[in-house]
Formats: sequence, structure tokens, C-alpha cells
Amino acid sequence: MRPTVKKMSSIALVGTIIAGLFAGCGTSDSKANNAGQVGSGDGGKQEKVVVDMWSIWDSSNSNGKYLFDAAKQFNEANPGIEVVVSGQGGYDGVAEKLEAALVAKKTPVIAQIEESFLTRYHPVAADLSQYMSKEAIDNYIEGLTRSSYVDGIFKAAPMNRSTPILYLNADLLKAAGLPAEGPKTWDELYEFAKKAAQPNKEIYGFASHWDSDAWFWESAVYSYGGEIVSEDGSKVEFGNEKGWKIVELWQNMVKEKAMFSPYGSQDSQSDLVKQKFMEGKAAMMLDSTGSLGPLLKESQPFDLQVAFQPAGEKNSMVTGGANMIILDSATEEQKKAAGKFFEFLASDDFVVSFFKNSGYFPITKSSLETEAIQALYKEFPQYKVGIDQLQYAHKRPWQKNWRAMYTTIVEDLRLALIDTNQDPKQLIQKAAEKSQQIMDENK
Amino acid sequence: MKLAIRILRSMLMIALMLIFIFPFFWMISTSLKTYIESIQFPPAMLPKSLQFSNYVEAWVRVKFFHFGLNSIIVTVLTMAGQLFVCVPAAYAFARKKFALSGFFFALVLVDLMLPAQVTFVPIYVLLSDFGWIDTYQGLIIPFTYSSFAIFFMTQAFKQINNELLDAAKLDKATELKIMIRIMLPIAKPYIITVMLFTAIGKWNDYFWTLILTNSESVRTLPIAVKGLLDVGDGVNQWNISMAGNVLLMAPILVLYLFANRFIKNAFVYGGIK
Repeated sequence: MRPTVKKMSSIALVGTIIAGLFAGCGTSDSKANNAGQVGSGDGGKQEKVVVDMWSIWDSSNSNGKYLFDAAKQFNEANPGIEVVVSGQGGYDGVAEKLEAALVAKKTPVIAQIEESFLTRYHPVAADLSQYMSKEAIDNYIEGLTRSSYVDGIFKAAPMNRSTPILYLNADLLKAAGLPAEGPKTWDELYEFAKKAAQPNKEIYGFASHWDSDAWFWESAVYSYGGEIVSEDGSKVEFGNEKGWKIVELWQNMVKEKAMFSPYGSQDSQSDLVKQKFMEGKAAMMLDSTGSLGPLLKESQPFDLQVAFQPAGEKNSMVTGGANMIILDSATEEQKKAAGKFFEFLASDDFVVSFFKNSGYFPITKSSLETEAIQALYKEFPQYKVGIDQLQYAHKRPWQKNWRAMYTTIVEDLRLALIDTNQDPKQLIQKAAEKSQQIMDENK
Repeated sequence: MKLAIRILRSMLMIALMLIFIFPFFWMISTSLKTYIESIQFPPAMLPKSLQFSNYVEAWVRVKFFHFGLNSIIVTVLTMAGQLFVCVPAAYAFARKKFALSGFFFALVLVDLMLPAQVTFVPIYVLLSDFGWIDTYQGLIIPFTYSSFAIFFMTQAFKQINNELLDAAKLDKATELKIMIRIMLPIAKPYIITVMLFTAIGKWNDYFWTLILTNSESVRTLPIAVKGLLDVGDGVNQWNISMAGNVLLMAPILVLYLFANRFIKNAFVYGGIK
């Protein structure tokens, strides 16, 4: 008898736990289920507007923490609103989940999307000027909003933004008899890299990669006066000299051992490049301003300086990072609450602290005037370079299939640096044809 | 000659062991390094001084209590659910003849071969219609069915001697009794092995948890640990990330040490048969 009783009681126990949990999860989930609707507040005393925001960061992410803290502060200051931030697994994660959510018609109120993804999501994004004050919108640094407008309507508010800059190991440059300010053009960069390289000591003049979305290549194309797609987004425009010049230049540098190429290794290219630079094994590195904060925080074994991204025909470069959109499907109350949260995220206090902690740009004009930022400029003048460069920011490719396009472009770019004997003209021509095909097949 | 073979075999075993152990060693070693040490090349095998603070940072950033509790709830209930669903199913497939049993078993096999990426959008839409997105139900109930568990246990049940069952039937034992009193104890190593695979799979599951949840309320540890890495435009702190991974892996390692004996049994037993 005994074993049976024991067995029966353990089955009953498991059953009770399961039943209890499912009954319990009804309450613990109610908050999440309400997200996206007007939920009832504590004890039903006050109606709370629940605004769920899909973020590229989880709360455990070092930068995400600041956004989650901001939502908490905002909620405390606005008892009628509850902003619920949740991470969705990075830039691609948010995009993929948004696709599924649009099919299921269960979208969040706010989505933090990569800057260039607005081309895909603008039909479902609300006009932000209806929910934010004109002053707040005008206060954003102009260079950061070049990809925020659709037919003159402001649809994406800057959040964590960055741009490529040239990082310099001033000690290595000086040792090679070069000016510590760094090169101004890509041709100068070539000369600098050749002089600074010391192959016998495994020191390279320059280190970089294309980035997983061909970001640095896109940026260089703009600097050569090129475009990725036509103004209306119907034609590919990079299948020419402006598209392949940078590829040829980098191939030459790699061949001459003046440039470190991280391709051919399975590791994260971005990490390999930073690693070379931080170890003093590369005199220059093209990387995002997003790395500046963390790199300056590390103890520097050398004099770390920064310069504008080199110019081709002109100074012009890409911006990146994420903007925020409000989904039009949300209720009017939610959209108003979301607009208020955007204004909070654009307040001087938040912008300054986020900039200091993360290394992403201060996104507003007024924040640049604050004492805190002026003091930071004095201590680390490096921070100012990226911001000054923003005047040359270029709009991102206006093509809803850009993500599919760069996935194939970056394959050819990668090949160019793995096998430097590949003809850059042919590779870029091929990438352009494939991109055009993607656009034509997915109109 | 025999000695030479034994030495050779031992050397091979040691080499294999090193290959398996090295990733764990590397994870633990990196978790105790400074950031600069973690990206150094050529890499340092051991940290200069042990940075236990990495673990504190990972623990705090990942909110281990909250996500860990969710992980335990989801893993334990999925395992319990699979026992209720997959054991009877496997028993039926192995021992019963019923209409279209071959067809249904073929369906299980087809499901075993389909990658999740093919089915995730329809599943998401279905669960969304049920209102199960971002709930424990959504993370548990669909996973109480497992084609792998059914297939594996069907094979196990098929190997059990017919005489035993005939004897039980002569004693007028009910189906439930036969399954619980005879089949389960004999197939114990298999069941424990399947459960361990389920536990590891569910504990480490990133894909489905990310797809089926939107908020932190029911999310599990892998999502939070992944969050320790940068999203692609900053600096990856591999040392902190590895500390998070050690913490994520530790419970599974402990579980494995306990269940190790049964797993070996299941594979050796299956192999002889």
C-alpha cells in the first residue's frame, strides 16, 4: 500500500503545483497582457495608461539599464502612465518580432528600431508632431534626424545614435613622424597607414571591417559622393567607381600589410579590430562613436585621439544606432503618453547622463550647452569630434529591403578582403545587380 | 602489444577529454579576467589576478533571482508535462495497435525533422490568438509534446520483453498499472535521459522564449544572459558575459552529475540490444 500512497500523493502534489501556477500566472501576466491597452491601476483607483516599449536592449545590457531606469523615473513622476520597457534581442530581434507582431496585429506602443528600418515601418508609424511639442522636435540635433522624416512628417525620434570616426593611436603616429591629428582623406589615410605600419613588429597602420550591415562601406560610399539607392528608392546607384573605390583602397592596404583585416577568422570582426587597436598593434581604426565611452574608460596605455572619418570627394558619412517610433495602432491616450516619454528621454538630464554613461551621442542641441557636457569636453575633447562631424551626416538608404540588400552586399565585401586578388569592380557590380534584383522582386 | 594499445587508447581518451573540457576551462578562465585580458591576443590562458567582481556584476545585471525562478518554473513544469503527455503516447505507439497508428507515428517523425524556423510564425499567430504570448502557459504547454521524447521512449518501450507484459495481463493488471508499475521502472534510464535532455533544452532555450514573450515577467535566464553582450555598436565585455554563462550553466552541470549514471545506462543498454 505504502508506495501507492506515496505515488498518489506526489502526483497530487505536482498537480496542485501546476494548477496553482497557472492560476497564479493569470495575475502575474496581467500586466504584460495589459501592455498595449489601457490597464487599471493599483486597486482600480486610477486608470493607468500602459505603454509597452520594445527595446533593442535587455535590462541586463550595460546601456539598456539606463533606459529601464529612465522608464522607472518617468513612471514615478507620471502616476497616470506606466511605461513597460522590454528587450527583444537586439536590432534584428526587434525587427523580427515586429514582423510577427504586425501579422498577429499585436504590436507594442513604442518600438526602438535601427535608423534605416524606418523605410520598412513608416506606414505603421505615427506622426510624432501630434504627440510631441514642436520645441522638443526642433531641439534634436539636425544631423541625427535626416532619416526621421517621411514626406515631411517627423516619424522617428533619435535615441541611441552614433557615427563612424577615426580612432588614432597618437603615440604610434608620432613615432612614425606623422601629425597626431590624423589623415583628412582616404588617400592620406593610405599614406599614413603605410608609414605607421611596422610589419616586423606586427604593427599595422590601420584596422577596420565593413560591419555586419556594411555600415562603414556605406559611409565611405557617401564620402566619395556616391549613393546606395536613388532618391525614390527604386534604383541601385552604387554599381560604379564610387561604390568600389574604398574596396580597392582597403584591398591595397591589406596587400601591403598596412591594414589589418579581421576577415578569414571566425571571431567577431568588430572585437578583433578593437583588440588590435587597444593593444597598440594598429595606429588607426575606423569604428563607431559608440565605442568611445567604454574605450576611454579603460586604462589607456597610449594617447587615444579621434578624427573625422576621412573624406573621399567630400566629408559625408553615415549615422547609425536606433530611433524610436510610435505605432499608429495604439490608442490616442497611449500615443500621447508615449510622446511624453520621448520628451522625457530628450530632457537635458537624461541626454547628458546617457551620453556620459554609454558613449552614444547627446541627441539634443540644448544638452550640448549644459555645464556637464562642457566640462566633459574639457576633460575629454575626443567626445566633441563626433558631434562636430554630424553636420556632414547623410540620409540612410530609402529602401524597405535594405536589410536583405546589405546581407548580400556584405558577403561580397567580405570576399574582397579575404581574397584581395578579387576584382573590386566586378564584386561591387555583382552586389549592385543582386541588390537591384532584391528590390525588383519585393516591391 | 596489449600494453601499447592500452596506452594508445588512454592517450586518445585524454586528448578527447581535453577537447571537451577546454571550452569550459576557457569560459571559466575568461570569466575571471579583466576586459583587456579578455580581448588580448595571443590570449592569456589564465588571468593575472582573479576578478570575482565579474560574477557580482553579472549576477546583479542579470537579476538572477527573477529570471532564475522563471527558468526553474518553466523547466520543471515542461518536464512534468512531458511525462504526462509523452510517456502514454510512446507506450501506445510501442505496444498498441490502433487505427492510423503508423500515420501518426510518421507525423511525429516528420515533426522531428522540421526546423523550428519553419513553424515559428504560424505557432506565434496561433498562441497569440489564444492570448498565450507572454504567459507561462505559452512557454510550457506547447512543449509538453516533444517528438524526440516520444520517439526515444517508443524505442525504449519496444525493447521490453513481451513475456513480462503477458504475465501482467494474466494477472489482470490495467493498462495504467502496466505502464506505471512495469514499463516505467524498466525504462527508467531512458526516461531520465529524455528528461535531462528536456531540462537542458528548456533551460538553455533562447529562440522560443524570445519569440513567445515580450516582457520580462515570464522570461528566463538565457535571454537575460544574452543581454550582457552588446547589441553590435559598442564594446562586448566577454569577461562579464562569460561569468553570466558560468552562472547559467552551473545548475545543469550539477543536474548532469546526478543523472550521469542513468544516461550512460540508457546508451549502453540501447547499444547492446
